[in-house]
Amino acid sequence: MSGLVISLPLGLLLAALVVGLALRASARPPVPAADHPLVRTAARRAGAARAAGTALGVVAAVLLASTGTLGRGPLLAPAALGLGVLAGVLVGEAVVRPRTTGRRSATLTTRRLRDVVPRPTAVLVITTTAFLLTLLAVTTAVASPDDLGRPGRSLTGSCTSTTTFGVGPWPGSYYSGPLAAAVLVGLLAAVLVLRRVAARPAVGGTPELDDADHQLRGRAGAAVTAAVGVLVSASLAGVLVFASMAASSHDCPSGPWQVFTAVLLVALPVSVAVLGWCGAVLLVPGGSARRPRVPA
Amino acid sequence: MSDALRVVVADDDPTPPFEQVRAQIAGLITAGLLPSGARLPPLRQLAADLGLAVGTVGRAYRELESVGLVVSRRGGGTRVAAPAAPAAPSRTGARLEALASRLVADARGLGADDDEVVEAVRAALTRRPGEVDPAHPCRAEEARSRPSAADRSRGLALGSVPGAGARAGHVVPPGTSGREHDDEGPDQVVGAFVVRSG
Repeated sequence: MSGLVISLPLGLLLAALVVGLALRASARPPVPAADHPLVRTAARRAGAARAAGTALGVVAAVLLASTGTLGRGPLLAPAALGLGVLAGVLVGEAVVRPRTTGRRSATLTTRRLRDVVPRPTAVLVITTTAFLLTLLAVTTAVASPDDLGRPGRSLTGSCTSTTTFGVGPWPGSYYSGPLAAAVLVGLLAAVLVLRRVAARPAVGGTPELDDADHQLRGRAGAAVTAAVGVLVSASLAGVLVFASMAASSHDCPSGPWQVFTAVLLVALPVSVAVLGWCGAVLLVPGGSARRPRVPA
Repeated sequence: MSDALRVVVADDDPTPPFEQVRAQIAGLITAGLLPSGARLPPLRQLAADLGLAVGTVGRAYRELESVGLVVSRRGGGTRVAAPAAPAAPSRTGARLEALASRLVADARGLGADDDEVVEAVRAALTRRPGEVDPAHPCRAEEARSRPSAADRSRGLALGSVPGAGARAGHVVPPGTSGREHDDEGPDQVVGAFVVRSG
């Protein structure tokens, strides 16, 4: 059972990533006016900063996964990866400098945070986040101390009036507390970076480069959303693996625990598919920022 | 708001940058291209796009607000203000018109023609309050002891109208401002004429 719980998601992750990359690469629009020196410089710097941030995040995630007690490190590794990507996007946006000489112009439309976020991916990430936080609340509520008295590390329950069970490790407060904190930090950081993406100076400061500017903002917004998606969906997948292995290892023949385990096993491939898609968006962030409508 | 609405700042323009920003936004508002309620971009966004200091754009916004073109609200950004309602006639102006109508009616009752009425108003404008009319000292004395019909109405004399000034006025046709002739002194409406001091 445990082999299936691990190998099936890995295969699904690989498939989702490959399909996602193929779809993204074929549908990715080119940056308008890409030959313009200002656009080329901004695109190159933003891409390099994102790649550096991603590499930094991977290194931090590997280091974190090899440390930590009783599996806490691997559980927090996706958060390290996500935060690394966010740092890279932030640096890439910060290096766009405004023109301060000559004749320059600015649009009078207000750029909003939601204009730079790709809506379908954002809905997917928000839904996944809500599911993760709900699941953590449930697993925390039913958790018990383990045999050494560490709170929130095992699941105990009763099958019948005479038989009880105790299994672990279980994603109770021992794991859910740090993980929830890491997710909230990631969400907060993402909002701050998205605000920077929306507010940074326009590339070029001329109407001819508006489309390119929208495109670059859209790519940065997609990378931020995907980074949060990777953070959340990878954490969710980890929690689901933990929880489904524990919940399926007791001997209760039927009852609510079987239903709960079935829900976990259905959610696991979905979370892995979301992870694969967000990974593809992170590697190939396309799209363009939406142009604001006439304000009400 | 169309994305095509833009503000341009040029270094070779001797106009200060804040004034360039202010004038262009004011022009877009008065031309109706920025409708009432339209939200202007945040200070930081516009300043970043134009390569200006936030304070420079902030000064432009403050000046727009001081003349009632935009409204700033904490947390609500800066929006184009609703167009002001047509100005109601001032109380002083309304009273002045009533006095002028009474004066014209009384003067016609005395048999005076329009030229004589205008001449009398001009003469009154040249005198300070309480000054004796050199052409008609007895009339002035009489006026002090017995108020005229116009004075009886509100106890006012046109010579004491605020802003009327001590110099000779001139008359310009209604509908013209007269500003091309003179920038000194405010207009005063008297009957069908606009009497300009100075």
